[in-house]
Amino acid sequence: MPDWKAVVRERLAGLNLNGAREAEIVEELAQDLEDRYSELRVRGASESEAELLAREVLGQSELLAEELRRRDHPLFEPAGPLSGFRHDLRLAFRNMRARPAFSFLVIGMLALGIGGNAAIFSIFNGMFLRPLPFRESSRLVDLDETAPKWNLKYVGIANADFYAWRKQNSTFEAMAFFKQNDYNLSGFGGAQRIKAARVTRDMLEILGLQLVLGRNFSLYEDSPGGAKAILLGYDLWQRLFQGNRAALGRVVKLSGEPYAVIGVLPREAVFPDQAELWVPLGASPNESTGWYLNGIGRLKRGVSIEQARADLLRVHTTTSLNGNKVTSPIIAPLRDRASVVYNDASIIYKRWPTRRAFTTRVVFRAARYHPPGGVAETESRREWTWNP
Amino acid sequence: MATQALDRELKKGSAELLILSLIKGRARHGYEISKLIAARSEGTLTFQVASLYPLLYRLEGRGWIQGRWVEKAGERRRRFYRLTPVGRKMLAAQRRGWLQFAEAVRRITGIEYA
Repeated sequence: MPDWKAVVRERLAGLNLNGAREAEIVEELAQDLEDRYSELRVRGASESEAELLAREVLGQSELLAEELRRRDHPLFEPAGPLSGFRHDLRLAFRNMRARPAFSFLVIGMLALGIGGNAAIFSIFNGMFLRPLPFRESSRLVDLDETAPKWNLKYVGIANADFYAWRKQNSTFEAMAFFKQNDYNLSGFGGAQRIKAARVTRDMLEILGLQLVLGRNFSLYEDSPGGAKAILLGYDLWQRLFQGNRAALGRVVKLSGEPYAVIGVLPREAVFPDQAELWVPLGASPNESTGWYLNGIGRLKRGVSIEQARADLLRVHTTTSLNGNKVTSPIIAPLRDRASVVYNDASIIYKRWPTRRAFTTRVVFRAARYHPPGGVAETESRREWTWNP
Repeated sequence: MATQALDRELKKGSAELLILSLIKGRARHGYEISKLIAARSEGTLTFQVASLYPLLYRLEGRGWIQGRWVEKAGERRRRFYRLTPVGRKMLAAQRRGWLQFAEAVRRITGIEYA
């Protein structure tokens, strides 16, 4: 009997088929020919006749080669879910190699376009879509006073108004007031300028934050002449004390005055903007001051902004604080007063070592006005940062 | 000459349908398929090795049939082809198409089955 495998192998020569695959094809075709040959012999054909007829069945070697080549490099690919995509990908790479300069130009344009879109979306997302990083932030409102007579939309809140609003309102769960202050921090290898905020002790409750360490300001500490205490911001705690719990009780000097560290703020305490530590406001209800405070309030559940505004107006007009009614309260959702900061054309990002990748700064624009004799700061900016 | 060309085209157009039909009920190897085609068509249709196997490989590549080497006691191992679920659907579609085509030809030519 002829060596049919050799016959088939001879026909497939030059096709450069995959070794294992070629062996399978050779075996299968050789078996077919052997079967035919054996059958012809059984029917009485001579060896040479049977071999001749079997070889004829193998057909034209060109046809076989062509069919197998097409099978190995098919024009028609099985219609798998990614077959078209793979083909497009191959074609794309081939074209890129053929015209590298044009390809780089296109890739560069695409990168610019995608980058621009991503930046615009980040701004939009920060401004309109992503909630502020505080518990039930939709109930948080910005408090201020307006003075149309002075042609000033925002003048800040006077000391007496803040106490009256807080005591007599019926629509707020809580209110907090603050003022941003800078201090010289000394005692840690040289003095450094620190941005801080003087806050009322309700601030933590309003924002719904839990301290990492320690306790909140006491009533005594948040009163005129109270004990000097501070809550360290998380970053400052890391920087000064390397995150050591022994920071509690330590005394730091702010502008020459000793303050005891009584707690550490969580990372989320990104309000007021850039404040690296909190100091108690320690304001007095009896002290007559200018309009110098910022306010934040948490509305009671189910209370609308309009209801809260009417309530504060009622309180405001029934009190005779400051001896005039040039100003009136103004309330806006915290989100509405927010806008993402642009540093000229670029967005400011501050890298944070947290699972949240970036910090977007939020700016609240406000006009500050101090009474005659005071200092006017028109269109100064209140800023704070949140970590989206 | 023209008749031969028509025969060739008809055979080519029906080859897939024939193979799929033959392995619908049970798995068969290549030689068995070619023998069955010749026998059932009473010699009218025959496939050369050079046509049959590449066609089997092509159908396998499309996922319509699946070939598998089977070893039986006392026999050489053989590659048996069976219909896949996709192939079953394609067979049904080709059968419908072929019937419609034959019916259309019958209506035009008036050819009736014996």
